[in-house]
Amino acid sequence: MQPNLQRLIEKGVVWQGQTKAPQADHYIKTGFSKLDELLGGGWQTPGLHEWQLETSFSEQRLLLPLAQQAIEQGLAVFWVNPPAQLSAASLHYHDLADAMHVVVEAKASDACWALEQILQTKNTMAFAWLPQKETTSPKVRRWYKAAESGQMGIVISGFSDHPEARPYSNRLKIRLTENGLALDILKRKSGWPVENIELS
Amino acid sequence: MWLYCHFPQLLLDSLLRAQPEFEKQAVALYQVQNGQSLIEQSNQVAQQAGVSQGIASVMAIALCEDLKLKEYSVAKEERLLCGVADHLYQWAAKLVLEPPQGLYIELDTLEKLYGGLSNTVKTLHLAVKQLNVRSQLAVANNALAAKVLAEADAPLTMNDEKTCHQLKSLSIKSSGLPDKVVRDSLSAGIFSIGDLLDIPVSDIGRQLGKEALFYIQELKGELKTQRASDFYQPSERFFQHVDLVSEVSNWQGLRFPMKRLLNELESFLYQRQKVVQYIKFQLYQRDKSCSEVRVATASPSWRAQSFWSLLQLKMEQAPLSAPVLEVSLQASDFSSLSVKTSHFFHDAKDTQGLFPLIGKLQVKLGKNAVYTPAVSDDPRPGINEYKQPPCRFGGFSVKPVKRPLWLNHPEPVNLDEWSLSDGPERKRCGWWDNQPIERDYWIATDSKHRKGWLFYESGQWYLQGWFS
Repeated sequence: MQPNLQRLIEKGVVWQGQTKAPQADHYIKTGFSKLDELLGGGWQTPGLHEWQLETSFSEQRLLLPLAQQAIEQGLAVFWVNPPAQLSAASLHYHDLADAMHVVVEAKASDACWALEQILQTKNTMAFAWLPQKETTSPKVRRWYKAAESGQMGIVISGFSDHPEARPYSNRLKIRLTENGLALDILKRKSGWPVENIELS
Repeated sequence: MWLYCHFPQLLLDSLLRAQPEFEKQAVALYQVQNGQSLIEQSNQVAQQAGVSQGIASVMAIALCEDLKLKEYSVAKEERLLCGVADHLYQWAAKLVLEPPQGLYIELDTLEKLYGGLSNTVKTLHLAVKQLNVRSQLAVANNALAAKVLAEADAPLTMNDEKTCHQLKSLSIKSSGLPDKVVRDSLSAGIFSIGDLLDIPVSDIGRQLGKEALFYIQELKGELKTQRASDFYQPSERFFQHVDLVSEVSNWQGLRFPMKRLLNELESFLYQRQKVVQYIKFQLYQRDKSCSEVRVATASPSWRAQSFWSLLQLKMEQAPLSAPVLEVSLQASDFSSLSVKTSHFFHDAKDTQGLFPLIGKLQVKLGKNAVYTPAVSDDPRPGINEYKQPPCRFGGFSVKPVKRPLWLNHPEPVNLDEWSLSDGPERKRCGWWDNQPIERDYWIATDSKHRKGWLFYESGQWYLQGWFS
C-alpha cells in the first residue's frame, strides 16, 4: 500500500468499502437505554471497545453493569493493569464476587500481549487499562482479530487530543459531570459520531 | 509360554531418538574395562566404517575419524529398560526385567485376552515397534530358551519344532553360558547347543560344572525358575533421563528431547489416569552442575501440550545458562483424573481454554502478577484484602458492605478540595495485632465529580479508594 494512502487511512479519512464488518451475534446492554440505542443495541459482542477517560477513576458506571452481565453469562472477567487495587469487598457488595475475576499486572508491553491472549480465549471478558501510546493501530488490530472468535474487550485509556483511526467497534470519550456522565461517541458501528450525550 | 524382548542397543538407540540429527553420523558408546576403553554399542554408520562391538576405542577412531564417542552406562540403560517396561505394561502385566537389555513377558495369561498366541505375539510386537528402538524377539515354552533365541537374533516363530531346531543349531558361543564353560565345551568338541542337549545330563554336570547343568535343565524345562515374585511393578513417580550425543548450547537444540520427555510423561499419566500440576526438568552441565526448569500449569493436566506451551514461554525468557549434556524430567504428586477441584469455574461455560490461559500468563508474567482478589473477615479496610492464586474459590463469609471498587494506599488529601456526602462510618479496631486503627470513613466528591473514600485519623484526612 502507498505510504500516503496508509497515512490517510490511519487518520481515519478514508472509508474502506471492502472491509466487511463481522456479523454481530448479540449486544450486551450498557445499563443506559439511551446509550443502548445509540450503539445499535448495546456493546457489540464479539467486539473491542475503547473508553477514553477525561480523568482516571471515572469508568465505574459503565463498567459495573457490563461486568454484571458478563458474570450472568458465565464469563471469566480479566482486569489487565487496573488503575488501583481491585477490591474483593466491593465485588462482593456489587454481587460480582461469585464468579471468576483474574487481575493481571504487568508492564505495558506485556499487558498488551496478555490482552491478546485473553481475547483469544473463549468465555472471557477483558478490561485493560493502557496508555494511549500503547494502543497503536497494529496492536488494536491484533486485539480486534483475537476478539472476533467471540469475546469482548474494553480498552480504557486517557483522552487522545488527535485521535487516529483504530479498528475498535466503538470509541467513547467519557467525562464525569455533576449529574452523572457525559459521552462523546467518536466511532460507532451504527451511525455517525455524536457528542455531548448526558447519562444520569 | 514366554516372549523375550532383547534390546541390543537400547542406550544408543535412545540417544539417537532424542537427537535424530546425529542418525547420519557415526556414533558409538564405549566402556572402560580393565583399564581399556572398548566399544560397546555403535550405530549403523559407524558399523559400516568397521566400528564393531569389542574393538578398542582408539582403533574405532582410527577407522572413523568423525566418530562421536560417548561413555556407556549400565545404570542409564537399566533406567531406560524400566521405561520400556512401563510402555509394555499397557499390554502385558506379567513382565520380568532382565537388566540391562531385556525383559520377559509371560504369555499364557494373555492368550485369552488377545485371542490366541499368534495375536498376542503380534500385538506385543507392534507395541515394541512403537518404542522405535532396535529389538529382537523370541517365543519359547521356557523363559531361558526364549532369551537365548532372542539374543541370538533368531527369526521369530511360534512353532515348537522350529523353535527347537533353531535352538539346537545355535553356536555354543551364543548360549549365554559363562566364557569358561564355553571354552571347556569347545575343547570337548561341543560346538552347538544341540550338541550340549545330546549329552546325558549326568555327564554335563561332571564335565562342565554346575552352571552348565542348571542351564541345560532349565532349557529342557526340567528346572523351573520361579519368576512370579520378580514381576515388574510400574513406578509411582515419573523420572526419565535423556543423554545427549553432544553438548547443546541453546534452547532450540533441547526442544526435541524435552518434547520427547513430555510425550513420555503424557503416556505415563494416561496409563494411570492421573494428572499432575508441577513438573521439573533438570539440565545437567559439563561441570556436573545442574539447573532446574520448573513448569506449573494452572490446573493439573496430563497433556504434553499443556506443559509444552508453558515451557516454550520459559525458554523465551532467558537463554540457556550453560551447554547441556543431559536432560531429565521428574514428576510426582499425581492426582486422580476424575477429581473435581473447587474453583471459580464451577459455573463457567467452558473451562478448557481458561486453565492454559492462566498458566501461560503466570509463566510469562510471573506467578504474583496473576491473581484473584479476595477478602478476609478482618474489619480493617485494606488489611482485609489479599491476593489468592487464580482459579481458587474461597467463598465469602463476610456480609457485603459498600466499599470502593478501587483501593489505594492511603494518601493525605486536603479536605478543601472535597465535599463530604455520606458518613461517617467509624472503625476502631485492630488492637489484637498492634495495627490499631481509629478512623471515620466518608464518601466525598472531588472537583472533577469523582467519588472518593476518605477517612479522618490523627488530625489528617486520607484518600483510600474510588467509587466513581
